[in-house]
Amino acid sequence: MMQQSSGDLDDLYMEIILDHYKSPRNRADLSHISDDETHENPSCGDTLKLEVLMGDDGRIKSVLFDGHGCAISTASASLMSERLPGKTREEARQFIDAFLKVLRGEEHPSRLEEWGDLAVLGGVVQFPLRIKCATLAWHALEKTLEELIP
Amino acid sequence: MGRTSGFFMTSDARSTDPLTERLLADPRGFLGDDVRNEFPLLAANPDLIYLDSAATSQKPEAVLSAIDRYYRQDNANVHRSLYDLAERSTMAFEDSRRVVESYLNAASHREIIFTRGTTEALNLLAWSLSELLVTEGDIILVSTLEHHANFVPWQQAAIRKGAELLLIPALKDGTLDLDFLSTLEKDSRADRVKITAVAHISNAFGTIHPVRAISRWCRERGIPLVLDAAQSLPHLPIDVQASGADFLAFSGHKVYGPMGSGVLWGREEWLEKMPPWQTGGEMISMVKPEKSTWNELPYKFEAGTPDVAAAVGLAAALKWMKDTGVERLEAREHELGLYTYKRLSSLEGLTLYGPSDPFRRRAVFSFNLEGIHSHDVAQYMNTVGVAIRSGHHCAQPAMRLMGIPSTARASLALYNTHEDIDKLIDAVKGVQEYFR
Repeated sequence: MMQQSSGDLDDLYMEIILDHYKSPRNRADLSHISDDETHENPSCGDTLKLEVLMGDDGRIKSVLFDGHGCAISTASASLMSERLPGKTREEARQFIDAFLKVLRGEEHPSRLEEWGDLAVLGGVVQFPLRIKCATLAWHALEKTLEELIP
Repeated sequence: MGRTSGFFMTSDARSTDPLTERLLADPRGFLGDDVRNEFPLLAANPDLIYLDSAATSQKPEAVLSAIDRYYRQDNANVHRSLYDLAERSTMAFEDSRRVVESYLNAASHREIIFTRGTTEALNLLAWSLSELLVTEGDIILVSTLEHHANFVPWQQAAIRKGAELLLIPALKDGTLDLDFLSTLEKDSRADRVKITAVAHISNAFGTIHPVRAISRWCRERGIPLVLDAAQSLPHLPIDVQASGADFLAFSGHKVYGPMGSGVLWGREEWLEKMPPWQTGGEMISMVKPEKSTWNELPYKFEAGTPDVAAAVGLAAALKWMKDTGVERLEAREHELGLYTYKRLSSLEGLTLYGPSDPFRRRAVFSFNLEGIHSHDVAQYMNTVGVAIRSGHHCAQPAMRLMGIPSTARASLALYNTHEDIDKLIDAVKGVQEYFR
């Protein structure tokens, strides 16, 4: 018989994910950012623009995003943006690193549990083809932080 | 009725010939739904609704057994050794070429070049034809609706040659804007066009492009026309000599054949003049330290040991289509396409892309559901056993034209049934309910 995805659909589209998809937090019009700086998932055509605003204290003040994406990529960006304010760049880097490790299957999804709502993204690991959707915003953040003037 | 009828009917005109009308009236009577059982994968998975044949088709038993038989009985390298086995392998390969020649109604077997698929065929052409014809300041003409395989190789050739890549624009309904050709006349850019390359059917929207009109324009100017037939050969009978094209490329795996098989057809007078693309064994005549001379057609373009089993499998697929009846198959699919169009376009909250005239499109149905990303549509459908594609379908310029990042795409083949479409429609409603 046909090999079906191992995960149940509701493990992927948890209530929290659908909520963030329908009402994304920190989504803003970022048309002032040039298209050249758009982050893309070339396999599906999803696009994402990201803006990180730093406070005078060297901590992230806010993260805004804009773009087209599926429920997973939109919810991932939205959930990520909620957790970032208050973190230093170094803390943000560690945060990204830990998330990507879970999504790559190198660490158990329970690692995400201490991060509240974000933990629901651990369910994506059961859907290998959707991992890129969940990580798009995080790779974008990684790149944006690298390019921030210190 | 000649074999060319289908080609011309569907290329440009809306009118149908009497045979097609008769077939359309009773297409399922001519080819029953049990054709599905000739495909082992589908027979083993009765609940699978496979609607992704534009990506790749399933393979009938006839193809699987031909490949198996080749490796079990005839495997040896071709065109070299003198023992019986090598002779049988060479015969299997060359017979396959004759099957393709006859299927396409090519003028000679010398015009049939085996490749790994459409992409390789178009890369060969883009390199070789641009070497022959294109210099600085020239124009290569393609369309906005091309698959990346018929776009990027020409773009790169233009960059290499200092030439310009021009795009025939498309209208919002997913059809080509041929008024652009008159514009080229007026500002005399037409004189600089050296190659034109277009798809016969758009893989993103299913549009049947007006090949006859484009070929007439090219003919008048002596510009070779390259036809990407990857999406049309599975659905329409094609007679290359009558097609008005000078080159045609297709993939075996989309016409019920194996992956890694494909064909480039070209008119002999062009192929003779063109330089070889890949060099090495088999494609040479004489090799000296300072220079080499080339083998005759088609071997000049087939360097190295070919994938003989793939060619054998492709020939088996074309034979199977011919035995099944290309016109029957076309009528069955067309009728199913009309049904699909009618059902999908009646749904609320669904945007269907491509021409609104169902006679100007074939087999491919790209759509989006309001407020729901195509990925999520495809993911949901998987849970109810409906396999569709989501994404940009390797046609980013076409997606950009529509102002969308991606679509969900259901595509048909001859094993699909009305019940499949009913399940697709139920699945669309299910998605809308789930993400409401």
